Amino acid sequence: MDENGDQRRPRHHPRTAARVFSGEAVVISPAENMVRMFNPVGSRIWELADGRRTVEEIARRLTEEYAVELAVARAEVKEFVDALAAKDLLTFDE
Amino acid sequence: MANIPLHLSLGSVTVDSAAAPDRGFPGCGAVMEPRDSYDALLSRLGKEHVPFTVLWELTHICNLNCIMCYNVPLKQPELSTAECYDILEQLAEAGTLRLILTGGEILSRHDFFDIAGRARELGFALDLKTNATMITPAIADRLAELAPVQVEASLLGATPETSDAVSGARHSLERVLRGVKLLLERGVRVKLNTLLLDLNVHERAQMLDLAQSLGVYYEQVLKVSPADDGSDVAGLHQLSLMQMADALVADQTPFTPRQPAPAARTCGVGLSSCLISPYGVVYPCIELRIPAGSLRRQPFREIWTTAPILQRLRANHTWANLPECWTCPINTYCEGRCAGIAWKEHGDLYGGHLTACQQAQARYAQVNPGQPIPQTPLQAKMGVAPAFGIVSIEESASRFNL
Repeated sequence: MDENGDQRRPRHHPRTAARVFSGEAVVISPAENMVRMFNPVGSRIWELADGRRTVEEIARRLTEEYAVELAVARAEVKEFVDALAAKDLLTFDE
Repeated sequence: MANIPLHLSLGSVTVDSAAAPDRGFPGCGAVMEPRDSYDALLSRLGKEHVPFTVLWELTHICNLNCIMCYNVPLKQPELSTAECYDILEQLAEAGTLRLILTGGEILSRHDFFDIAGRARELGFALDLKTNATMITPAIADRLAELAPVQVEASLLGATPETSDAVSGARHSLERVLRGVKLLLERGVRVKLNTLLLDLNVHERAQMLDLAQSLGVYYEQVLKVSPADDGSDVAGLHQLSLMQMADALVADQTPFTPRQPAPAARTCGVGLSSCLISPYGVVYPCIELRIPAGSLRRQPFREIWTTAPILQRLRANHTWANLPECWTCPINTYCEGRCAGIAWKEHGDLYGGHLTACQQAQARYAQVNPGQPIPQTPLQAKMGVAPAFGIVSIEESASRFNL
């Protein structure tokens, strides 16, 4: 990560299927035949992971929407998107 | 319905754990700890009337001529590619996630992959129903690229003769198995379904062996549906009560009678799912062909929220409102009562239907071997004479304190 923060741009993996219902993301991974539901923060990150915003921009956006320090938001977002990427739910546009 | 080693789609649920207080920041939570269940989600979406699941008959054209087919093609044009794209956009906006594409035979549509591809771009989870006989290596490649949750196909018999007799087409079994194997080779999840009929029930065990040898999910279904226009040619091939009971006993799936609650719904019709026909007509479900509206004349959301038939089903469809079923002495064994089939059989949304009565009696025979089987109120009303171990409803009430 450079001084501008994590510049990777997460986006939904093309093999996933998903909707957000009342702020709760429901994500289906056909490869695993599994449904996942995220909490409001995870769901918001899922919504923001559109391939245009960077991880850093998503973290900063969360600081505007939640009472959270930037350092905490950065760490949480990075951990979350990396976990989803490991499960092929997100991919990154560098 | 006999459930042999089977798998229902979208079964596993994994969710994150943290509940977020307003404006607080609980973090994103541990991604893999269960908090809720998929069933709970469906229940919530049903209460909110989100059309989570849409079954869409893309075409009524088919290369087979199956004896139990319920489609009744109309002499009017099916939806165009552009109309399908527009409907997909509307469904995505309405909250549909699970999209089941069926036919007819979906691969009969020249633009099937255009429509399915657009559906995936819009984030739908696809369940594809095909007879599998048209699947070539190139088509299997394209189906795999769609990343469907699963592809469902019908296994109509374990021998070529039986499969051809049911499908009305030659070499049907060979073609189905070739298609299924091509999908499996590409990592596509496949589920096979068998409607047990008098023509194929004798191969019930062999079909199970065949499905197991392929390593696919498999389900055998007992209940024949009348055609969309209410005609019941397929009903001539419905299993007898004894054949149903034999199949259930052989299946050995445990069954526990369950007392229905007065306010409980018999099914979720109208709550979070619907059917779209090849002509753009929205129906409450695949069995209940009372039109809710036409997508050629109204937006989906308007139909979904205002159609009288949907509003009626949402408000009224509880056990206490089904007089024949609520007073039935064996309703604790009933698992197949369907508003659509009741409507097709007797024109009564709130009635029973004879196939469900027979299935409940087969369950009764499974759980109570050797005991006389009670007649149902519908059978008494319809004048179906007690036979084959069935005793009249009056006699069963007095003898068994039912």
